[in-house]
Amino acid sequence: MAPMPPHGDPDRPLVERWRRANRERDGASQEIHERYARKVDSFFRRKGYRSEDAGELTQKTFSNVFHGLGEYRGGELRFAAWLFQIAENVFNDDVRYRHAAIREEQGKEESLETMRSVGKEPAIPVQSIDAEEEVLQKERKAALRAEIAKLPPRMQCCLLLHLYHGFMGKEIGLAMNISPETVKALLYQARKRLHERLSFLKEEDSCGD
Amino acid sequence: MATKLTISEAVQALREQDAPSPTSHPSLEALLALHERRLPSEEAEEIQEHFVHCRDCAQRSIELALFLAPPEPASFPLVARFREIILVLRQPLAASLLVATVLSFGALLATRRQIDQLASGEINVPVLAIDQGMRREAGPGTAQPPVDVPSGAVLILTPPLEPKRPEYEVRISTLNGPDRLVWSEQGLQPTSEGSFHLRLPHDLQTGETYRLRIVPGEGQDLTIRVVAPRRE
Repeated sequence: MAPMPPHGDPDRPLVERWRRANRERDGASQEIHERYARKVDSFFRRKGYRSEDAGELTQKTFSNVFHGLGEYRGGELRFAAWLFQIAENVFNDDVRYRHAAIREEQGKEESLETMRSVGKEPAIPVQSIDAEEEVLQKERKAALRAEIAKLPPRMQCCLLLHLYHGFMGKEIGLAMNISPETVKALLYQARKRLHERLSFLKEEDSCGD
Repeated sequence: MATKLTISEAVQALREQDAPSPTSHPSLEALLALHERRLPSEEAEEIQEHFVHCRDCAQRSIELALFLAPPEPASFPLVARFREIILVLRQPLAASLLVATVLSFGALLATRRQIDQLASGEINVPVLAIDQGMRREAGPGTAQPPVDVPSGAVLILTPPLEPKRPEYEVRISTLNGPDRLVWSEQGLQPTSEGSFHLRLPHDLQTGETYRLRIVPGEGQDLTIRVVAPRRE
């Protein structure tokens, strides 16, 4: 089933003003910058950039935005999403550039994926375990997997996003477009159900607050 | 006896075995549609399940949501509010400013005119005392020339008064040509010394000769000739 038509873009009047004439353009450009500069800067900071580098990339993003705004026609992507896409492109270009620079300097072959995954959680080292313990763990895993599968889909997602990726309630809410309160309630319900059904689980302090 | 695990520990163990999501990464348009609640529920669930196995897409969805969120309130909400109001009222304000400028300019011109008038002798208004004898000398039918009075001067007139008459009228009319009333003022009351303090109106033309009459009177008129005020 095709998605429904896009919602009204709250930035459209501003973009139209930018298009209208050069006289209006300066004011509209300034307003666009004021409206999104902090968001773009925060985007780069969350990617791990220092303040000065984030500032430079923010500047580059807005330079690309105003360069391409004449061609922007809206359609499926509302202005904020289009700007987000440009910020992502600037980030990817910078990653490629840095990757090339590192490779040139160190002479190492590092894949782009490796570079981008810097900062992610390290894989948990596999510990050596004896045969009996291994059987027990397999049974537990199977039971846990079965019980998680019984949870409603949204509850499953919340639980696994929190436990797999370490996202907190607010982040899960943003990713799934549900309120943080709903996430909290779903996580509570999920934990409660698993505790009721799996005897090998013990209590833990908190979950996704 | 086997040790107990927390849910986190147990699920982390599952994660190691979990295969990556078989579904392809959702496009930016699809993520946008998810955030705008335009996706059918099955597709939305499919994307949300993809997030479980693909941290990058989940992170991307979070970043997009932060971009789509309404602008954060400024550090100084009042300033931001003021700026919004100014933006909305910019054109009406400009029009008002233009009108105010025109009005101010008009007021400035009027003030300037007043200053010019004051500078042309109004600051030290000449006071001219004309007593009864002088009137007689200058009256019509006499060979005396008219009394020269500076424009805007204050005349102190002491005419013969009728007993018990509280109010009088002063009339100034042209002397040359037909008798035309130029200015009059009613309800004038004499001072305790029996004088009238009368300021000559500005619409009398310099160089012209006028007849000044106090009514009721005994036909004793004063002929005056308006002259330019002396500059100090």
